[in-house]
Amino acid sequence: MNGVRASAATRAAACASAVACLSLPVAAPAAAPVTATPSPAAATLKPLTFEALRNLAGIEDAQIAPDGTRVAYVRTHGDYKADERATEIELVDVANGSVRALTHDRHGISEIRWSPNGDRLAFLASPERDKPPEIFVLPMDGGDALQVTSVKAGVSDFAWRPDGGGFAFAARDLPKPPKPKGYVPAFYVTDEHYLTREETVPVAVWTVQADGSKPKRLTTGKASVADYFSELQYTPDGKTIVATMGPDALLAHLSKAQTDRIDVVSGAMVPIANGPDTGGTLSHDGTKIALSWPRHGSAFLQHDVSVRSLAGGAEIVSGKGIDRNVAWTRWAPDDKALYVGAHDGVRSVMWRLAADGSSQRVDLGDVDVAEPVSIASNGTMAFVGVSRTDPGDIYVVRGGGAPQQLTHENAWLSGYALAKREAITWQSDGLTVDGVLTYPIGFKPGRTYPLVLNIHGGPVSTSTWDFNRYDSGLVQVLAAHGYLVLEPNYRGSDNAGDAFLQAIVPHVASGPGRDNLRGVQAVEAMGIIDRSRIGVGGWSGGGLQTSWLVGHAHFWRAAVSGAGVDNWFEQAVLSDINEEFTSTFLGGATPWTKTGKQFFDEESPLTYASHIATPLLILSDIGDQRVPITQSFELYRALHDNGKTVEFMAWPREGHFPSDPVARESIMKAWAGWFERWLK
Amino acid sequence: MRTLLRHAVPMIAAVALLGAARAPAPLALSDLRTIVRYSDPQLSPDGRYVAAVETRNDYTANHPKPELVVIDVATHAKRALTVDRAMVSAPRWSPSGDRLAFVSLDEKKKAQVYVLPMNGGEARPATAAENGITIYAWSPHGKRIAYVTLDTAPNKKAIEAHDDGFVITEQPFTARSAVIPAHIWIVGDDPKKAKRLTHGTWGVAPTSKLVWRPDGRAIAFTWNPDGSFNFYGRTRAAYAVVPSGAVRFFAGPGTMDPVYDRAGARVAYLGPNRIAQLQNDVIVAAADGAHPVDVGARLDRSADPPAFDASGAVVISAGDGTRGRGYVLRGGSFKPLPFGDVDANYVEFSTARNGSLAFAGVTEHDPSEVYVLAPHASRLTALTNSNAAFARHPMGTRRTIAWTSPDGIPLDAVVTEPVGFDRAKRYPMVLYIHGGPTGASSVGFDFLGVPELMAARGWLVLEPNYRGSNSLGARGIATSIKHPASIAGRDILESVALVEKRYHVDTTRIGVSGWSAGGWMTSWMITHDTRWRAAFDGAAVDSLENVATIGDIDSYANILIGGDPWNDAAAMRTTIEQSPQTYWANVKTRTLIVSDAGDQRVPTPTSYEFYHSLRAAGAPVQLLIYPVNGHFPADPLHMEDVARRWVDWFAQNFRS
Repeated sequence: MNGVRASAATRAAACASAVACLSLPVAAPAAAPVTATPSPAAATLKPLTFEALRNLAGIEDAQIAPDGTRVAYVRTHGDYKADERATEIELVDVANGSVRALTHDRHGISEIRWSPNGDRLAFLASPERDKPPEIFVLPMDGGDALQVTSVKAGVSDFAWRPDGGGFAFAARDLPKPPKPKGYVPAFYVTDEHYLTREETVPVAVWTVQADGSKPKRLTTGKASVADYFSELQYTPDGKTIVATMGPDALLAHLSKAQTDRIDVVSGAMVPIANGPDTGGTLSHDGTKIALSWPRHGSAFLQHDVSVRSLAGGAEIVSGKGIDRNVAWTRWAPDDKALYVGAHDGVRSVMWRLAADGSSQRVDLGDVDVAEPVSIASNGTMAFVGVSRTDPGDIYVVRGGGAPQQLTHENAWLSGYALAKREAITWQSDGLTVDGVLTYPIGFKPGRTYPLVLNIHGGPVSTSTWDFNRYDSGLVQVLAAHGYLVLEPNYRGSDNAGDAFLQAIVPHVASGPGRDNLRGVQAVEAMGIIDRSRIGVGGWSGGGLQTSWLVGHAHFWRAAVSGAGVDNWFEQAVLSDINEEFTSTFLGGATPWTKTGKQFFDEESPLTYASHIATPLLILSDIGDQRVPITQSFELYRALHDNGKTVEFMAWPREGHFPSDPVARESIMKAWAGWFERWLK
Repeated sequence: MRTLLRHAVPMIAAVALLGAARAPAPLALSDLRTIVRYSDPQLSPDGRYVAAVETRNDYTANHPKPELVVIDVATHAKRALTVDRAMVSAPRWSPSGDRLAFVSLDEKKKAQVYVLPMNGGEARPATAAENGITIYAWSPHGKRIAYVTLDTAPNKKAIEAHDDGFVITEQPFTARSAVIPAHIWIVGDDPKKAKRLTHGTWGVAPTSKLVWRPDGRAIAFTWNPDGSFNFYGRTRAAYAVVPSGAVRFFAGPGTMDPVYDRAGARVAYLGPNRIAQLQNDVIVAAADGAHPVDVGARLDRSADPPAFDASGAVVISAGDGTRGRGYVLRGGSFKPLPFGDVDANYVEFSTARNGSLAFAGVTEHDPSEVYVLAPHASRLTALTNSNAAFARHPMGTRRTIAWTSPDGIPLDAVVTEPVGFDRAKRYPMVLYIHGGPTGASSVGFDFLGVPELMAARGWLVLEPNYRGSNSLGARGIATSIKHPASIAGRDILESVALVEKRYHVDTTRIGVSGWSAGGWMTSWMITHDTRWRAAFDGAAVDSLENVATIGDIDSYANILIGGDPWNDAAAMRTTIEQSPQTYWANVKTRTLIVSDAGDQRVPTPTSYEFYHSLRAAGAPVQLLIYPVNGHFPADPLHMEDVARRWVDWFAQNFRS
């Protein structure tokens, strides 16, 4: 068993591993400047524009070869003509940093995985544009990639068998072949989201030989691989597959998932531990697993590491002391330590959790860890590193030394002026809240500038100061236009421990609302704001806060509420994360009691729509199953029909945020354009 | 278009495989596959022929197969005019009768006008509209055709480059593009040389037709303030001047469907009744709209779009209690036409120079035939006999019961007696409640066949025309405004009590069902009474707020509510009071909620909300989704599946 593991964080799946359900996806066409430091001669540098940001390359899924000599990774960039996210696999030599592309003209590459002995590289890719992904295997001694699977509904995850002779994979069942063609019969729903167009079918675990022969469905019944949490893994003897299984394929039931041992012969599933978990990483020797353990039982709140025995499920080591919301875990080659990734303050960092339960934050200098690290058997660690000036590059750490940058995928950025970003903190209701403050390009102390809040979603998520977050491009462009930008990590953010996160329950809107207003006051106290020009915007949970804030203060001059939760009742009954999500954050309240419904309304921005006087731009995807657009319609009508200044723009896309570069850019332009219109 | 929240009257048709001589058995679902439906029958100008669309369903390919047929009025000989043309519709004779135009799809699947010479020869395209056409009309001399086509989006290039974000104004939650208006164009001999007549951000209403003034200098149409479907009460009967394109209004908001008489001296159009805005009166005015006279008020029935007959008299159809009747305006008042047992439901009459009139009608035992009323005839002539086989099945008798509400409103209902009805026996009963609410149940063969199938199972079927129905007069509709559900709910319960008095109803087995506003009433019944054994709750208006906010016709909902709930607190209170959703906790009835996945009229979210609520109430509830767009499935298989499940749901729940 080598150290290759799937990285759940790179999945564009529903609620990424951090279960930041109501947030923008992290790491999209993100990018990376080669030079880590902006030139001091800022005057000679160009201001960043959305057009310039089209050059961004995104770096994902760093996978070091078992022998530690090479790192494979996925490079993405926006193909604005075809309007798709173009992907290719690149290979960088650890010794000399030379890079070459391994793939040509393939669509939708993800999940690259070295074979156990490093002679082949497997990955998921679409056989044709817009087709679901299949497993491909590329021989690393030359030759075309072989398509291993032909599963019509697509492969969502896979793992090499330890002997390299086959795979376990996860694939959604196919509905019965329609007759006539294209006919889908009527079907029953329960906790499906309101846009559902076909019957919910499980994602089953399969096995297949490396040459594609003998595909075998291993799991039966309604149980479904919770592939938004965890990857499939084999025990070293190849007799057991570890997979996180939900009771069915409904995302609404994600808090009921458990990581199971699955017998490769019988398909029998046995839960490893005694409660719900959200996936884990198996040790190399296969005796223990680092489970991601929801501290309060809900997949939506904080997760701690709990190292458990694979056989009996007993806890061996608790990582609770780290007290951060675990994003990922990776074992050291000797299984004696576990690397744990999480947000901390305004950064994405990692800890080293020792066998005795003690933990230490790993010092990587200015470099942050955007995704799970990949560790070779010789201990060399590779990862996608990010920083305030680097949207993402491959870094390696050898022998515990300082991180060494191997790639320079966004060298073009060095020609542009990048805004200064720093962390600030303030007090709110006895909580210490932090945030990222971005200064306008050409900032001069003593002068005042318009301020824009850019509020993250989740709510269990964090605004970090690196360039990797998808909306960092927006922040940089706003700074180029002369705005101060504050990105508050209000209560509920997962960067300061469980107590801070938990403080959002049950006042899911009003509590953070106060934090965010005090964030504005904190920047005001710095004497740098033009108080007549303050705007606010956010998507998803950030849209919720935006709608809330304009209903609770009148100093805002412009606001952009994207995919906002404006009505918790509709959020409960229409969304793919459904009633459990809402009740979790509203402290167990349901809309099915009088007081519960009243509380839902109290925390809903729509209730305060009559107070809104700020020009509001509402944005949404038509096909948003996470935050149903119905709520945006209500807010729009409540404002429009009363003569308020409001515009409502929608994109004909499926999902919570468009995945195509043209629509993404178009949203960012509308967003920045609204501030230009009202704050200039 | 008063059928907004009614079953979306579908273009049904069926493959006629029915053998002529078969032992009569009670009607079964499979029998409905043989239905042949007629639509849009058009008399030739001389009255000698009728062209019509004849539609059967292809259940293998799962789509309707319309064909154009022409029928000789004298001999009833019928022949097909088209072979395998895609989605033919809207036949229109040229003014001299030498050509027949119709709509079909071109190779890009865009609807275009084709013209068929009636002295032989193949049809040629008359239009080449980039975005396809919606409606059209021959010019008075047959030299030109006016048609309506959607404007091209101003940001078409950006859209093609995938930059297709759009502004939402009046659209429903299912919108995929900006509101784009449709405008009038005129084309002569060369389809490629069409000229645009009208411009503006306003649009030709989605329900409009085009009517040339006989002098060719104006085209009447229904104007809407924008290109949305949100037209109710916003439209205006209008005309565009040819060739300037200037637009003039015949009348104010809420008017629609203008038509000129043969001399071009007068115009008739529909307008809101003074007491009840949702009742359509016929208004006749001078050709420029001057001196309007509300000739429909005395009829006190909601008129369908008017036409003028050869004598210059206005003819209309209108629901009258449980019948759909034809009327002619003579001596200042509307007189019923001698239609006998044939119902004219939501038809526009075609009239000829010789004084005859044609339409597609329905009888109790025949879902569709083409009928002609010859000049001065005392009865209708059926030109087709395509569904005669249905009369050979033993069918339940459909009777009308009538009563007066305590506050003096005349109400009625259709009761279908079970096949082999025996007055001494006790029967289960199903309520089958019409939509709208401004629709009506009539004794004619149901478009889904559900009451007929239920009668074949041995159940009584009750179809109440509750307050709000458009066949009962303005006072009924007027008294339902601001309490459309609660007052209708009382009427419906009165109808149940009346049937229980007249029949032996098995009161332990009463089911309640409906689609759209019929679903609304169903939800109202189960939230206000627990007597029901089971409920089939299709596309129900459980939340009026949803319909008025994310649906495609807020304007209709706002009339029912009495205001815009978003700026009128009283209207918001009404919205809440009249929504079954408000009373979810009362439900005990076993309920099957049904919705299309993409219903823009009664928004799908409404059904999800009600489902979650009933589940929380502990009621035995299921939610069934049809993975299609629209307010009712339009494809034959799903449509048949609705009827099957509707009947089966009660069969299953009536088993003791």
